[in-house]
Amino acid sequence: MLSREEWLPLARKLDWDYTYVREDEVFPPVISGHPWLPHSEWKDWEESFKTSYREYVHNQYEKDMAVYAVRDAVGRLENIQKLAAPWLNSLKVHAAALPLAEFTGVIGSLRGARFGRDSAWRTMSTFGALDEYRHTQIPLLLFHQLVRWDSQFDWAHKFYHTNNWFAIAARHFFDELTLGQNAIEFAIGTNFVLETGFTNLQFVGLASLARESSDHMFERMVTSIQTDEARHAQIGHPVLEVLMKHDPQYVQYLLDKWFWRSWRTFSILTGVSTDYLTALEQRPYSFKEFMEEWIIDQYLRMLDEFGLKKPWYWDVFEDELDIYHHMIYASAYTYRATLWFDFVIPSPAERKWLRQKYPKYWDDMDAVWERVIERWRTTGPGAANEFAVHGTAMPTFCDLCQLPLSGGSPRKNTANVLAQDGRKYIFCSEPCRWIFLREPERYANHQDLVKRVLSGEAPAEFTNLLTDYFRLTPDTWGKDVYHGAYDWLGAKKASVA
Amino acid sequence: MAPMIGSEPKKRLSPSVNREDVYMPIPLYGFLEGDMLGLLVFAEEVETVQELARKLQDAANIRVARNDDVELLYNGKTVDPALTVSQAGLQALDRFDVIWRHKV
Repeated sequence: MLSREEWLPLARKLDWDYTYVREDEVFPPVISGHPWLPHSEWKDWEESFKTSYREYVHNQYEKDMAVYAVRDAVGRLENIQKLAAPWLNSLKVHAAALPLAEFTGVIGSLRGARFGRDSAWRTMSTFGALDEYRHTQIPLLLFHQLVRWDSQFDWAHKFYHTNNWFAIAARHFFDELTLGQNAIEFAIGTNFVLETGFTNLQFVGLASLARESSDHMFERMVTSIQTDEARHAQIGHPVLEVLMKHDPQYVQYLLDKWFWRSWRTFSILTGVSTDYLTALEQRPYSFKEFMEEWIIDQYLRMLDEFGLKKPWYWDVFEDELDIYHHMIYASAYTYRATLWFDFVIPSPAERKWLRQKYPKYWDDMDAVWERVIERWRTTGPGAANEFAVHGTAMPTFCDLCQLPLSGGSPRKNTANVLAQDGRKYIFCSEPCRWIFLREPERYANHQDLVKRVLSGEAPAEFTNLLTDYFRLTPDTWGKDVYHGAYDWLGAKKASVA
Repeated sequence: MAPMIGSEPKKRLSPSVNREDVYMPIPLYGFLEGDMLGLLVFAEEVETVQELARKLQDAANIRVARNDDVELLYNGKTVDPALTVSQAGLQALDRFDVIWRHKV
């Protein structure tokens, strides 16, 4: 009988020369990706985990049992009900954004499992697909029990099936990154940039936030997911190594494109959770500090390792660390009924902390929160007054990322209009415009929410937009967690309806 | 509940209305200094630039306090507040900015 060390290389490297078909018919460029190279260029593809299927199943079983054990011990409804209300809404954000996005990762990974150019890559992608399926099932399982208590958790299943503005943006991102992607761009965009660059570390950070918030079920869930991510994210490195020998400019483009697109989504999910929906005394760091310590250093080291440059927009990105997610959160607070989770106004102590962490633009942010607070003081707290402290004008969205036009700073919004082929497009930032112009055939026909309203596809009337198009209901649309009844706000106690 | 589309146009297209009296609303991207995001504003060809600036301020009022000392920029240049939207050359899906004349 062969030893493991003798057997595994034979099992993982199962490539052979084709005689009945051409190699480019087995691996068509359109779905295997650019650059198309003969297998001789890929034959040394290797990753460090070298897992067998038997080992994979054994390890995943152990991890699943650990998640079940934590759910049974501390993940019951009565445990969840004890969590702070702002953190619960961070859970709702992730409950919606995570599971079906992970499912798109199944599809992308399966593309690598079939069209990856080396058998070891295909083996690893098969495990990756099984990982992502697990990352779909675990949150759906854990959050399902909460639906009967709070119907906003139903968005774990519902989110991606709606035309909610954030779902449109998330689909625009994941459809391109995972569902419709060739094997090479998937390996670079998902495995290398998103997973190695962002989510692997994001899950470490999220687990830390969850632990501080006493949410041990979520902590265990993301920790368990992170161990899978750390493994299958390794697919990206060896793919990138081969590409660098043949088309380094293309590699630089893919990295710059997917870093920006990942940053946009990541900054909203993680930035808002870290700086607003985690209680002040439980925040181990600011989002900017997390980015600087965990994401940026590592990403720059990875670029350096491969002889790649920082993205050309690095100064734009660094400036956004101070402001983008704050502008998004304040905008979203004033349009909270358009989302499926509830919001809080930062307290005076939190605003002091935010000013300390984000001094560059906080004066302008603080002015907006003062304005919102003044409106609550005028109307008085209470569920009946929610819409008196809410925006009514139609927000606008970027034709690339589909997120609100909140680029730049409050004093200098960086939105820019492009007239091309008889149509007008608007972008939140120069990097979004640049990505659009590199591949206009990919993006030009997608309509943002404003164009859908103007064309009559989406209703212009606010309530109809919320209910018919965003699929929200009075129970599920977002509100202020306290309906404006904050002790520090100095208004009379709410008559919460 | 208020309509999502900011201020409504004064007149709408209707078979019973003389076409010469009809003002087609022009959708514009408005950016108010100090605000968090751009807003869709419907302008009318005959309204003045000053009225358009006020309309954007009203639309952003939940986040930014009204300021009468403002000017409207189009293509990076200040526009005479007395001009009409049509005279100023604003067209559908253009960007305009309303900025504070005296910075605070």
